[in-house]
Amino acid sequence: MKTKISALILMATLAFPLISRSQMPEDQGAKTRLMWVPQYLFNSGMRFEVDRKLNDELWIVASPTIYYKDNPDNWLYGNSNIYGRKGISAEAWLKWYPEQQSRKRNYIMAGGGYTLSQRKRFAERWQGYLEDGLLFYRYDESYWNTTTHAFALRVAAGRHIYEDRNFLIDAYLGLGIRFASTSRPSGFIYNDPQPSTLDQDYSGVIGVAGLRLGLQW
Amino acid sequence: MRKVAGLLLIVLLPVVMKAQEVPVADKPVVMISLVPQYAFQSGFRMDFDLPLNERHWIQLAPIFFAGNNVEMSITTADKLGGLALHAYHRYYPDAERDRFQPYVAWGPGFQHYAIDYKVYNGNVRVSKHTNINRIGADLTMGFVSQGSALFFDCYAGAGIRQAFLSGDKDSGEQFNDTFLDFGYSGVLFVAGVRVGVMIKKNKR
Repeated sequence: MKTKISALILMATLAFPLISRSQMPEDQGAKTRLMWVPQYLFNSGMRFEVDRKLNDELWIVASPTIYYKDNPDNWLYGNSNIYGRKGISAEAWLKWYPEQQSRKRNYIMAGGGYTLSQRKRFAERWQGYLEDGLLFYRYDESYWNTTTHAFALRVAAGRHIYEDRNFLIDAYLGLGIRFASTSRPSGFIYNDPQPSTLDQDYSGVIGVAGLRLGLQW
Repeated sequence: MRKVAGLLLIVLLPVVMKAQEVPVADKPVVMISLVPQYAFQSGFRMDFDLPLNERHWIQLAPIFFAGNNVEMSITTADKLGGLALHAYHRYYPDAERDRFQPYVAWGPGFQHYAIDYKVYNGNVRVSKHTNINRIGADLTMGFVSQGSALFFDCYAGAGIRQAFLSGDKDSGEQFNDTFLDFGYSGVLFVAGVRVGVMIKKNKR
């Protein structure tokens, strides 16, 4: 009995790709994809990418992102000194599929874009006040905003790791370079740490990794 | 005579075959579903999905909130009342209804909450009342199970919210701690399960 169950499980496992493939429509005709990039949620970002086929080998990808949060940011990046954020980003990619496979396709993509973000922080600053005709200075705690303009160029390699009917999951890995310029109001005693590669005001080489899931038609 | 009969047969064959076609799958005219996870927030959501054509649908999602001692991240609402309406445009890229049919849905929403709660003023608990109006939009993707009158729909995606507080709004941060709170403003994760019935009309 045990052997029969084992054999059945083995057969089902082996047959699964055939069964699932037999139920899929021909996906050669997909010309558009709408893909969600969920990891941006960790940075209070909402990113959906639109892929459009140019020819059998090339696709163009538009990646708009909205960042918004009106309270202290999430704890995942240790950025507890951020009390809110707003931002937009526009990126474009060119994806090249060097092999003409129908499924599990590998690709290389290159692109870049611009990000504008404003982050609210909390710190002390010197504030002057008059008392009995004398000018005194004291610490005043207050919120302040940084505005960051960032340009990034990235290159990555990816693979369609799962396809079922119109559903698609792909993953990519690569690196890039970011040039960020951050303006800050004067007079504050800043206590923000040096930005890490995950922060938007980081300049330098960055890692690129992600997962996208969405639909194609 | 034979030639004419043969030609007539060829011309009429598609018509004859069409007349003998068996009825294809029933065409759904409305899908009515419940979204059970809203019960965790004392909410009752019933969705009505109406077809525009085979691929495009409109989804209306009215929600009613009512409860006592509703827990939020920081505070507990002594009394919660609320109404909301979300409207989505649903697009099924593959019109073929078999197994799990994938879709993408996007649309705006409006929520209104009236919350009675208490805060500490020194050692004294003071009653407060805050009204929250919240607007937002979602973009989600999911799968609807097909093949039965009962259907399940699993979806996930992202949304954005902006809350406007009135009444005792100075304690607004109490409602804006996590994305599950009624006064949350920002980008949020949207996911859920819908279970419902598909009302069909025979398509011939």
